[in-house]
Amino acid sequence: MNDLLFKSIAEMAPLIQSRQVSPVELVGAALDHIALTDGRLNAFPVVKAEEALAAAHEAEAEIMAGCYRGQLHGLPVGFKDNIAVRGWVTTCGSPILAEHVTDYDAAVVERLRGAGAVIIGKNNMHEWALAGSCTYSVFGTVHNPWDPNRTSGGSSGGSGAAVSAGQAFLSVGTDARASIRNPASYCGVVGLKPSTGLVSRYGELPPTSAQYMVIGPIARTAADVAIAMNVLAGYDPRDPNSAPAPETDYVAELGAPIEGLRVGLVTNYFLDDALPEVEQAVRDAARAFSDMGAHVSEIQIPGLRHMQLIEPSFESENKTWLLDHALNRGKDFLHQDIRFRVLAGAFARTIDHERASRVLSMVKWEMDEVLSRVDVLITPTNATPAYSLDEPEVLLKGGPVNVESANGQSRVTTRLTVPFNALGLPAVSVPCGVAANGMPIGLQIAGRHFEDQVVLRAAAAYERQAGPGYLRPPVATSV
Amino acid sequence: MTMPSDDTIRGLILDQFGDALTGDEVERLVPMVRRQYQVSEELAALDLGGLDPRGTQYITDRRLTP
Repeated sequence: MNDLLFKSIAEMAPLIQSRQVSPVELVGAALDHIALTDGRLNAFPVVKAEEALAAAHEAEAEIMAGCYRGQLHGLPVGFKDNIAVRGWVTTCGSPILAEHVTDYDAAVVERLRGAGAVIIGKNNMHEWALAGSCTYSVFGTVHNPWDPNRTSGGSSGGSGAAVSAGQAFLSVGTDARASIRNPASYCGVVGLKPSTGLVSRYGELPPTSAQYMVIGPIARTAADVAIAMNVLAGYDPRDPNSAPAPETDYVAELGAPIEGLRVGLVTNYFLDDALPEVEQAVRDAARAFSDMGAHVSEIQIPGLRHMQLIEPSFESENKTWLLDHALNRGKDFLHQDIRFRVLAGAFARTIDHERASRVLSMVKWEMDEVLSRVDVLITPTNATPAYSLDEPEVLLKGGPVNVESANGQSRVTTRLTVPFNALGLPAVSVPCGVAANGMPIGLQIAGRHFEDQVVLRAAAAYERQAGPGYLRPPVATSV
Repeated sequence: MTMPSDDTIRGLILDQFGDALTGDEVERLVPMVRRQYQVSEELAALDLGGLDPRGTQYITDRRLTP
């Protein structure tokens, strides 16, 4: 049964539908596997075994009665702990919400329940989703299944680690700067930041980012992410940023030809800090696309050099709801790194936000022009593989940076992913090799707004024909 | 706008937060606020605010059209 936990959703679904695998046994195996592995990972701090097994029994009874709901029916899944599940604690990784029980389901929870998925628990995350790591959390640090001494990435680090380690087939995370793609990259799995407005944010707890944040899936293959998107995507009037998108079958679109796809390898900004082996992995991916019949060209997006001026303005407006805790109560309830970022944010000025908005508009015009010439962009997801939890500094191409400082960490973990949040574009991270230190490298593929299916098609083609695909990490193979 | 001195920034912090912060906490905050003013200076240097409003409109002004 243990090996079944590492199959893809696409492989497992027919086994469940044909009753060769029992959802009750599968969910039981996942719970046992979490018990066995999570002491080293800390990815699943909230596990609801009784509820999960009850839901698995229900799924099994439905399937036995011939009522099969689709490819997620009976499969164990998790949610990042800033997504509301009815009757469960939802902490956002913060001591402030340590006992906060939500009395409703988020839209994405409703949708996965409706598809028959079995929710087994909540995945750990960085405090308030305010970093590309999972170092600070009310539940403690998340560890990488490829090497527990290294970061899982974040802030959806519990989601990335859990899916990588075979604890769940799918986890739903959130991404305001990097938080789905970064842990997917560091943990060797696939994570999609969907187009803004495509997946409802109803039930996402405190609005860490008003404009940049989206909810999206982390799974082991691009096809599994497409299966999840068929359930998660859709207009929701309860989310004011939800937008009616064209009806799309993300799984069917994976079969569209890759020949003739116009792929742009972005050679400025994204490669500035990338280690040589990361750049090489991305250039190898570009060659693989060319070998598959895609038209690959090198492109530049000069306006991205201003991203470091845009981000602070947008970031600071979104943390004012923590100011009271930062000033009066926060010493015991906010990590000092976050507390001081909140305090500094109080000095942001309206004129800076206006100017940053204008710069962002110019970058958007530039990106629109680029995306009229190519269908997808490829870049590294991160400049480096996952860094060591013990080392305060991370080596980039130009030298070491202090990852314990907010600016240093941003440069290491969010710099290459945040442009697509700012621009609302879909972007996926897919494994594209293993570094000399044994850690996975991620390839980021981005595309036009509401063309998530094109991005996933490119990711699936790369994964199928050239990439390493999902590899079982050491923590999962040693049990 | 000229870059405020660290003493001015300290004064701004004290004005805003009063005695809610210790002296050490104020000192930790000074470089973070200074960084915000640096970003502000760099944004202003891009000179995006100088157009005559009579000669611009939403669609043609690429600074504004999302």
